[in-house]
Amino acid sequence: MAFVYKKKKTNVRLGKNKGEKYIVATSNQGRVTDAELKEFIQRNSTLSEQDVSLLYRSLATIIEENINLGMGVNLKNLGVFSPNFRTKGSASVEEVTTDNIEKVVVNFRPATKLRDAIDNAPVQETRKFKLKHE
Amino acid sequence: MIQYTIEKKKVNTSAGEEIKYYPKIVRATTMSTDRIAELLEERTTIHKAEAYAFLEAFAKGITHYLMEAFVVEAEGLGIFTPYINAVAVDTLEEANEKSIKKKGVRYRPTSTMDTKFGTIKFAKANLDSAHINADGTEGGNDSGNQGGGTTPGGGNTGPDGDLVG
Repeated sequence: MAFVYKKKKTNVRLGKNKGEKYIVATSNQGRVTDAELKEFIQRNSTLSEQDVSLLYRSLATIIEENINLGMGVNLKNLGVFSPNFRTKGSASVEEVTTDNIEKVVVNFRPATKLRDAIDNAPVQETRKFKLKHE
Repeated sequence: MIQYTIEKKKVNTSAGEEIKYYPKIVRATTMSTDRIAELLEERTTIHKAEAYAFLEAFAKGITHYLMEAFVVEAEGLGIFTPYINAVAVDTLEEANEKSIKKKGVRYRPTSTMDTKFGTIKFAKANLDSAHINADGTEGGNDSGNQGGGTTPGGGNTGPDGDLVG
């Protein structure tokens, strides 16, 4: 299996390279659900279905709890999840209050192993050439 | 509760360059995989070694599906989406592997996680360790854990973390 891509027709409106162009984009092969991911984990470990479900639920809770405390969470070979703010600025220090924090967002920084795996994944063009405007 | 300090930034607005002050997250330490395995052991009847094996299989599973260009939806955690950055080219034939600049993964927290973030409480960190003093002058930063965002010096240039001027 490979990282599947498709070709798309696009209209570039900015920069030096303006006009009608063609571009390569990811051709998502579908959505992997929780159940499929749990099944994969079960196949790749000695854990039972119940254990996988229990650990899965607990992991999500632990990550959420730690993010809510302002802590980052490092999952080996996957990446680091860390909280951050979406903020708006004020003209003076005194004006800065919690109201300036519009939202807490979670950043994800992929681990080197994940980045390398994706970077080195073989690419393959999707068999169906379906251009957006055709 | 999440603590914040105040950060001074130069921003470009339609009126020109302005100085603005922004709250900046004081990030506590990052929890290691080993510690997560310990917590999993504490909260379940499963041994730490098995919890660790689960975490490894979890990462392996997400990587496996992303490499096959699947979108991975991990309930309670978020959605991982593979993407390609490519150069726009003039002809259909030129649009091939060679025009790919980068492959990567995007992450979006689940909507339930997003909703719960609305209930988080914030507290201003002690000014002694803040970036900006009350008079607007730059102060020390001895926490060593600040930074944040995807750009040096804090902030976030991503779609979820744009600074609003």
